[in-house]
Amino acid sequence: MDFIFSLFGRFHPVLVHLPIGFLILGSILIFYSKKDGKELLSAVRISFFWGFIAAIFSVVSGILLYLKEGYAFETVSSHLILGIMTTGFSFGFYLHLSKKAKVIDVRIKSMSIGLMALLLITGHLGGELTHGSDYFTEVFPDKFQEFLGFSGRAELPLISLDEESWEEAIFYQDVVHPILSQNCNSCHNEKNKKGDLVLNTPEMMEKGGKNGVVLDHHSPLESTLLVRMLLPLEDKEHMPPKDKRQPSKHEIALIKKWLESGVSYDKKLADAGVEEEMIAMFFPQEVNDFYPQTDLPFLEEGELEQLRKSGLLVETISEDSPLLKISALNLPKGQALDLQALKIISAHIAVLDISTTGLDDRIWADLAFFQNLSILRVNHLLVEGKGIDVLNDLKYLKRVYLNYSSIQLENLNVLAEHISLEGIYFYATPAAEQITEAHLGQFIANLEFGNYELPVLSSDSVVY
Amino acid sequence: MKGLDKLLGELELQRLQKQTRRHFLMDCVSKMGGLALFPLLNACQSGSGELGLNLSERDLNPLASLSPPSIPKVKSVIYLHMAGAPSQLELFDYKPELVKYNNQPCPESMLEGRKFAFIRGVPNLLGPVANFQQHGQSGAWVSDFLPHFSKIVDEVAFLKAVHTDQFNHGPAQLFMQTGSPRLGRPSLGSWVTYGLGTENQNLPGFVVLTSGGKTPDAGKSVWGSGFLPSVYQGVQCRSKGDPVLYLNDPEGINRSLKGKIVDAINSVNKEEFAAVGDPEILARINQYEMAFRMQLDVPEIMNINDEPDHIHELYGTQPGEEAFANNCLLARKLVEKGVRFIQLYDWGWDSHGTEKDTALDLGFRNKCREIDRPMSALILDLKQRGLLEDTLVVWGGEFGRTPMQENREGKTMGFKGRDHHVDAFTMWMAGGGIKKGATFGQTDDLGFSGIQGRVSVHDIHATILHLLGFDHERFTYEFQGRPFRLTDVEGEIIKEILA
Repeated sequence: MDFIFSLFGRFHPVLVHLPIGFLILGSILIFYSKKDGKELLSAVRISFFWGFIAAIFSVVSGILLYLKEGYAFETVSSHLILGIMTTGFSFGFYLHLSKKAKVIDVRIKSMSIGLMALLLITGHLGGELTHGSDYFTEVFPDKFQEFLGFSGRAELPLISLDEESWEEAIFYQDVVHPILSQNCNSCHNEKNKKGDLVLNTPEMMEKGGKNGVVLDHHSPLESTLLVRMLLPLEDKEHMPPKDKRQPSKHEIALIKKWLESGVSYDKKLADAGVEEEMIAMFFPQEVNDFYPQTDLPFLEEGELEQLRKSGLLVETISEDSPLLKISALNLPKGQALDLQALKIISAHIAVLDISTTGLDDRIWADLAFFQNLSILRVNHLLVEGKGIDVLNDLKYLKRVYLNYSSIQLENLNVLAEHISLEGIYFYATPAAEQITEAHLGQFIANLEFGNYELPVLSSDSVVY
Repeated sequence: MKGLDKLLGELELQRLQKQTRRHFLMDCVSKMGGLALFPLLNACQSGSGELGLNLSERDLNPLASLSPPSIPKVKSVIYLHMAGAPSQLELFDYKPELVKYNNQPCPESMLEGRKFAFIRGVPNLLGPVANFQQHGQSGAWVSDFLPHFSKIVDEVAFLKAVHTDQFNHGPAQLFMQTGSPRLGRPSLGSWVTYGLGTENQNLPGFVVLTSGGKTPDAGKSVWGSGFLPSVYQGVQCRSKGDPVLYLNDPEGINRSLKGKIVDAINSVNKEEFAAVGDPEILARINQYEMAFRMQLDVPEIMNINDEPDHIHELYGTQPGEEAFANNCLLARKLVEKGVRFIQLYDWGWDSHGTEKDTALDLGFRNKCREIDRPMSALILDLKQRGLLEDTLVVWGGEFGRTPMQENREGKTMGFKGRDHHVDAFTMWMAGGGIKKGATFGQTDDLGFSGIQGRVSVHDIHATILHLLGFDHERFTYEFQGRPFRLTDVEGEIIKEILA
């Protein structure tokens, strides 16, 4: 007989509309009556009486639904509590109307407004349980959703694996489920069951849809799930439909592998025979940490134009970065370059090329201001390196190019301990001649100074 | 005066040619519609450029340097294309099994449903002609045909299972360079110049150098600009003699006079552009200006004689000759000067075995010797100057060669050669953002097909664009009513060879 309770519980979505109707009717009647009038009082009483009775039925059926259908208390708690409160409040209201109230006064009117508010909130919370919390927002235009801070798509699970622990990841939960969510979920979820097919839980996947099962446990590679993804894009049967997001070939390969490995929902990636290269593209993207992370504002195009007029090549390192790359490459020979003029925007400069500008060791003092400098090219300058130690203060400096300069090894040595420096290039310089094997190990940075040759081989001159 | 009359006559003729009966009728039709349309269009116009037309800054200065969409790993590319398609089985793809089956008939299962350019019937398999050894810390297999290159394998990432779908040189070269086997698409270098412009305002952004005696079979379209404005096409420099013809001013003409001439020509061209609105006229204006500026830098940059002796020895240059070695050295000099894309073509790799020059153990070895030292030297020279950090070097042909010996018209050939093969061949990349010493992809025991890590031509393009800071799916050009991409609707970045 237990099913009676379940059945009654399932009537909750129907029953809830009764108290809503009665209580709203009562409130409307309250506002129909004249000031301190009593003509409609008896009708209001009847409405609230039946409203209260219906509310009791709603609460009881609601509690049964909660107990029988396995809802978590956290999900339903506020709806449940508010529902009981509404019932209690409507009972109190009814008592007040039938025992005390002689006329419909302002107090009754304000109480009914309070009850309406309670009813609305309770009803909305109940609606969210059946239709989902994004029921209203998902029809908004995308831009508006973003503006309000909702975005249904961003909440889809993504594959997050890493190089160390991918073998332990569960194939279905951590790989297949996110792939299906990304590519299939928009049409095959509990709310939107195109072809009666739902693909976001193992149970529903096994169940299949209107056209039969999608997983074939006997010959997994013939599963409809895979076959329809592999059809040519133009084919009517191809899934996802042509105008929707298409899974990448890596994603399809993984689905195929999952089917091949036995359509299991708890197998680990490594046990299913997945090779690292199949999933390597889902490892965390290397963040670009070459250039400093910065929240500097973008410079005005006018300011950049001003610099360009002086003959400098000026551009941002990428369209979405405020950091600049400045090069004297196009500066006519002999035209002086004033580093001081760059000082006001020095924090923006990440790449600076002042090769062949005729500057000398006085540059180092000026360069101390370029706090975000990552790449410095001072090729073909008459710099011996006196004062180059200021580069030790530039904590983002990664590469220094000193090719064809007059750099001396004794001066270069001060950069040995520079932590961020990755490469120092001093091809065709005095330092390149002075350097010995012993120096190489002292530097944290990699040193390039041109010791390469390709010895002549006897085969070089053989003509066949 | 007679000459002047003739000129005026020609001008009149040209003017009249623009006014035929058809033009008149067409004008009548279009202008009636235009009358109605004009106010509508006028409302859409966001501003008018210098020439009274709706021109962007980019139209007027198409080669100005631009920032890439995202932070790039490299700023320049040197692409070494071995035109004719070298045999991967004699260079990088070592197949010991193929030694065993040398001279045995090819299993028919391999031939079923396949088409080859020249192979007919059942050919015999041909074992590797070269001897292989593993090299460097990465243990990459390289044959003894490339003794110098084998010393720098740790700088390089190999793609062992590249595939294409074109088995004739012309279409395959077009596919490799423009992403489509048919004419009309812009080349890789054009896309890059279109997207990034040129850093050095006195040099073109895209330079082409050829060696080997011939230019690629597909003709100059492999460095053409396709539907992009023609200012983005590759500028081919001569590999012998003056790199650019008529670079020096003739006697009696100095630079300021030359400047005035260019200005005058361009003002006429601007008028013409204002009259007809053909964007190709803008390209012409820009090319005049570029040529004028090139006079400043090109003679110095294209002259390799000033390089020190040890550099000449490193590359094995042959001054005064047309040589791959000279072109490699030039490529380094151009990168140093901020040129974006340098395309080298070396012709003569079509080793069918029809004659001595195309025999794998004779002519092919000579070709290997010709590129071995220069391309290795290029990597080392870029490295020692720190240029390899932000330059990408790509090496490859347009397809590969068959594991079978060619049997043209079903006959046994006099020399050892291999036919065109689309299923699997080797390419390598080196430089910024590339994982040093990596090998990706694997072919089957006979080297016929890729069995793991197969990559397509589109994947290679996607990867090159990625390294330059582009998302190949978003880098588009509007043409014939739809946005076009270099990678069409395909291409995935080959993450496995990225650092």
